[in-house]
Amino acid sequence: MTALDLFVSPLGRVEGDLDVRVTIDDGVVTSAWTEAAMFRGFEIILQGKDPQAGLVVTPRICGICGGSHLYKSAYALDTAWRTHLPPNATLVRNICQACETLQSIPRYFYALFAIDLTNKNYAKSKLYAESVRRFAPYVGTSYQPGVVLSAKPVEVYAIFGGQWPHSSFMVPGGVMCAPTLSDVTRSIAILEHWKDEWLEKHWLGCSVDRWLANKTWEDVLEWVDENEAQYNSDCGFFIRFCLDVGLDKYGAGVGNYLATGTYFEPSLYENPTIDGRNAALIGRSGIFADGKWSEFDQARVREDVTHSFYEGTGALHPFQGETIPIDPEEGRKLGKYSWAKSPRYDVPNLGHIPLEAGPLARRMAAGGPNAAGHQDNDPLFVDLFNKIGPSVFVRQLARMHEAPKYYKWTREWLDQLNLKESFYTKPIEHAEGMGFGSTEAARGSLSDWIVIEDNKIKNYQVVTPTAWNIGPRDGSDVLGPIENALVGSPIVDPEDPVELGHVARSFDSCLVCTVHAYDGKSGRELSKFVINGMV
Amino acid sequence: MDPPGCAVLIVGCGNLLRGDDGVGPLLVRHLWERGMPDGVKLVDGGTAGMDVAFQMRGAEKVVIVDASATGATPGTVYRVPGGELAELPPLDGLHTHSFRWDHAIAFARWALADACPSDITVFLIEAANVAFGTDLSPDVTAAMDQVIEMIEADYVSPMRPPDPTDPDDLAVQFTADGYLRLSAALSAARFPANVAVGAVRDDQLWLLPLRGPRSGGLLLKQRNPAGDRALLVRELLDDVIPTGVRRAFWDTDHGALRIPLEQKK
Repeated sequence: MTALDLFVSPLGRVEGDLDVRVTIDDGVVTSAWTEAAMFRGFEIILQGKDPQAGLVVTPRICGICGGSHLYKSAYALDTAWRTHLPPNATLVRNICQACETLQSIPRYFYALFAIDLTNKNYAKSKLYAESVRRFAPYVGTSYQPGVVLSAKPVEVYAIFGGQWPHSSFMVPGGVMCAPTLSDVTRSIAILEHWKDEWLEKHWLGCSVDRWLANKTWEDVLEWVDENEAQYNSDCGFFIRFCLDVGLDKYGAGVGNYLATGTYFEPSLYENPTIDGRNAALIGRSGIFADGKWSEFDQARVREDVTHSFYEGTGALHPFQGETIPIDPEEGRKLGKYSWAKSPRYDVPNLGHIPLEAGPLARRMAAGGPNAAGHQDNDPLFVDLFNKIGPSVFVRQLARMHEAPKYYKWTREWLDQLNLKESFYTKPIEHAEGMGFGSTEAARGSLSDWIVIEDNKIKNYQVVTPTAWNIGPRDGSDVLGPIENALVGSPIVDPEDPVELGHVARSFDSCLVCTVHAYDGKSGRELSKFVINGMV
Repeated sequence: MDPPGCAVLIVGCGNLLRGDDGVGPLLVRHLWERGMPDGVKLVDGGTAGMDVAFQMRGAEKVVIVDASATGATPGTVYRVPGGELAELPPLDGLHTHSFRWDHAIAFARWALADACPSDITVFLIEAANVAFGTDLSPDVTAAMDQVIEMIEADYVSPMRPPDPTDPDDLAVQFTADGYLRLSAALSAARFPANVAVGAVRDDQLWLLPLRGPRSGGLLLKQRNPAGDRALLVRELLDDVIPTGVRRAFWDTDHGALRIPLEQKK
């Protein structure tokens, strides 16, 4: 035992680092580069391992959305092994995926996003004092309940999953749990508490159903002015503040979206297949690009490494995906600048283009045509997209809109559990197979592709929402979604460019990101700051 | 709405995918395998630091195990006592994706206020290798074993049930279908992980405790709400079941529970 006086510096522990470089000309961002600074290589760890290794390894990729990683890695095996999933198993997976997202919504909003609304650059807004009163870290009147109550939904996850974070209780063929009636009752009580004490009391100032009745932008504006409770709720205030300081005016991004969807109608996904996936989804998948919707097809996904520190310059489908790192010093000579790959999607008639993943992408998919009876069919954000266009504000509101929606779904799924029926069907562990599993983590589409040969993993590729959004330029030098969203942002104070913080934070990437702002003419570094920190 | 508290909360922090950084969660697994008495709660905190803070609510004592990178010799163990934790990093600069043990404590003091435990001890184990996908290094494995023994001695042992002396607790029963029934007090004291191996020697049935079902062995299954247990010993006895009650005794030298098969006259 060492008995010394010393400063013990703890081991830094981050999912990764991201450097964002922007150039600013005459108060406007003219170009941007997102550089993921850390090699991870989970795909390499998984090669040659037992097919089920992904259930243990991928939930450890992230301390925030480990449940989402587990969910999609289980479905990748379900499709590869052609399992049978009892309806109870689908319901429990739905409940747990939703609870992780319900945790993330207030936690991310108060602990990461809303802090920027207290930036001194907004001091001239008449709403500034109120913003500080509500959102100042640790002392804000809304910050404290929002952050503390965010822990509640994952208590429900732990009831079914044994623990949160990093559970591995979803397995091919079902879930490893045997909930009792008191487990279900307790889950309902926890969710109701969260809904009463945070969602309705602080966030909405009205019932969940009243908010969900909003179908157009005009409905939202009328909702704000309908009564004092709504006007003064955090949601009402957030809308008023954003419109006052202009957060509805920039950060549009590529305007093209990808949602792989999540949550399944139990009766439609008892035998999970890749082809049957879209029709069984409750939270719909879909591509919205150049003003048109098309069906999501995993076969159209590619990962481009032209500007990434990996061998080669082409784009491969994840089933054929390679992860062969090279020395970044050598890579830079070839014009490479990030450890992230660039996911691209082959949109009919548009070719391989970058797509934004995340809550706004899900809302665009939810407003698309041809919804089946069991599917989310919600026109609100298509209306916002058409009337006021995408922005930092709209992206945030999309995220928050999902809290009442997913709360309601989760309550219904809890009611549908049949505790007398099975939660697991033992699968046949086929020696060969190919599988695709996907979900929507709070911050966007998260997918696994697995190739099994000779009872071992031959290839495993994980494509995260962070990769979709922070990926670098591709082989055609087209900017990635965040790079694109930063360009055009107005910068009031180059020494404290809070606007860049809003844009980068509005994507909620799973990385600690440092922004370096450079003057476009002199190349002088104007400022450097860490985005995404809690203050 | 709050989850039930506990007497001792042991939290392992770190990433299992990063070699020695996973020492905290691995240590928690080892403790789990040896079996924890009532009142001790284990938490695999992983890399979700803010939730480690919320887990502390209602715990009387908290033990946190994490990896460190101070530049000291790999495997060096630091025991940071509660008094040293008065000075914690400021809450500004926290990040949900980069949350460490000291942040967790600082955050818990804010989030839990009066409900934050005052008795908190942190064990740090100096990491040698945090490369992705590697195993624990030998130095860190040895240090982990050392920390397990310190936690066992200071926090777990006092919680373990006392050795049973009451004749009723030491009475065991063979059933006609080949099970051996043990009292709750006897099995909790001697077989905390609820797994045993057995053999017949000198007309006595010997049962030795194992650590965790992963090693194989006979499971001591709970048979009633009181916590009495039963294990299937038919095969050990070659199907000759000496049905009835026997008096078991603990053989300290061999670390075995011994049960005479013949009834003494």
